[in-house]
Amino acid sequence: MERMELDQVKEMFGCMADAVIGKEALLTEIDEKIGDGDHGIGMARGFLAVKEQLPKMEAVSVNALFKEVGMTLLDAMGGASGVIFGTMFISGCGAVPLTDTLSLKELAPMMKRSLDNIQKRGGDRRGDKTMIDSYGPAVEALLAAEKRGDTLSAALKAARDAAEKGMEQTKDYSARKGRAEAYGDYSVGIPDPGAVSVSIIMDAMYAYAKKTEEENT
Amino acid sequence: MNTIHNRPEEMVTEMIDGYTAACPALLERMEGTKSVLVKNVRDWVTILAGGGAGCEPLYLGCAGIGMADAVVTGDVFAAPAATQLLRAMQYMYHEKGVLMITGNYVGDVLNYELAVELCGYEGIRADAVFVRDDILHKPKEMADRRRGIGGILPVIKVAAGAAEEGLSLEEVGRVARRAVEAVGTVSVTFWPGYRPETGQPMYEMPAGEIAFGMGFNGEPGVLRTAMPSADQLSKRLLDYLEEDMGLQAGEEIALILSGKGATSPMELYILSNSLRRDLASRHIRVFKTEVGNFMTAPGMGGVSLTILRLDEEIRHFYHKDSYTPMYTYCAGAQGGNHGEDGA
Repeated sequence: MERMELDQVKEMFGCMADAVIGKEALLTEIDEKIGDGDHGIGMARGFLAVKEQLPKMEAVSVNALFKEVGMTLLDAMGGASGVIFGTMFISGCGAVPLTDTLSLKELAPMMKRSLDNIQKRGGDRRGDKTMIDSYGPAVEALLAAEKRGDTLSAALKAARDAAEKGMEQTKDYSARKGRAEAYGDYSVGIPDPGAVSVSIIMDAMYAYAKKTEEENT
Repeated sequence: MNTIHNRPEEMVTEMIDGYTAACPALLERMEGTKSVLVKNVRDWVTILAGGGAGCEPLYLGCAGIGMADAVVTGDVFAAPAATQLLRAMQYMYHEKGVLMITGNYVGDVLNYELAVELCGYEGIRADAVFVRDDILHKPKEMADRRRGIGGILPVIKVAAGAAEEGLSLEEVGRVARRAVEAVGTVSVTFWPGYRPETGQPMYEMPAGEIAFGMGFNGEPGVLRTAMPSADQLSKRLLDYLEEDMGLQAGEEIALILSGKGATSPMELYILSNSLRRDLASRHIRVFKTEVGNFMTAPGMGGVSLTILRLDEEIRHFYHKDSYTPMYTYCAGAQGGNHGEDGA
């Protein structure tokens, strides 16, 4: 798969929403151990709103659709994680010219801009046991794939694998940011809930591309 | 503790409705939001302040003449969302740009910076300034991570003073950031406040102990000790500030002494009297003393002492009339006592 049409990008967000909603119990279980236990509920609330709003979204560009999804997450989730996961989709909208199809040429710089803005705001460095530990490698994988001239689905697979590896590594880290900071070394052995969410999101993007590719061959 | 409310989830909106209804000529509530706007704002750079509810006068009482043009509150002790900030900025006068001011808390910073970005997409020029005056929160090398407390109000006042003289957004932002650099606060807690929804204490503190640098939600401070005399308390508060801010003999300051809600005006003025004598002996000149309840929590005992270091520019923008239903500063009647103390 080289590119997604606007309708397909919408479908992809629908699959992403289903994937996150389906993992609510897992996210809650992790966050109860090293946070205040509300990450799963917040993510599910955000993506339920996305699922509900998607059919009504009238965006005529991929950029506007990403922004609308991000704003929906921001509004529905609230708090710091609403800002972070909202930014993941909002900030990309200004990174490339308006487009009605999504190829790697757009996706890589959009995700890079979002990563930059999340890092600028959160001040999070790698190893602080945050979603950056998973999202950072995923974005780097997309950029490397763009350089190699990979297809969109191959790039999404690389990004999914990098996100998952980054998420696994957060198990070794001690929390230094946010409310989990109070848990410090106690958090070792448990992955960061935000990184798990990134991993679910990237996996859903790849799964959609793969499924669409298989249907068309 | 018994608390006044109908339904806990409507405490903030009912407070705002009551507040705006008590002052309809000055204030309006933006429908469907927890935002208050000052009516008849002139065509200058507008100031938006906001943060969690429950510490009034901060923030609700900061909307008025010579103060913020709009205040956006969140829920009790929780930051307002970026979308709320954006909606308020779209609704209020914003043609000359909007400067947002709040305390340096993770939730607030994230939402304010995102709101600046969202404004960019809507063609509204906006900037955000974060006050980080709590000198006992983090050591000096980590000053950029300190939270904002009693210093937020004077920073809003200074920025509003600059805005009403017609300065550009860049200039108002520069002045506000200079005020952030010039302000420091020490806070001491005598007893915990209560959750306004339940009346239950927010945390436990041993009777008879006081805690320097404790956060509003009970985050541990730097020192716990028995209650000292007013003169001893004054000395300790000023020692902390003098050392951290590097105050020198001959410098001129504004002194802002705020009760935390349950400490009486009588006690505040006794402390203010001790501070006056102590500052004179340190040869630090007090241009202005403000005493009142500026940042509180329900039922919380204690004080916070803020020093705003004055130079010509900061003094000029600070020393202007301000009026809100919860805060007044009359430059004429309460004029600075320049040169009187320690001169």
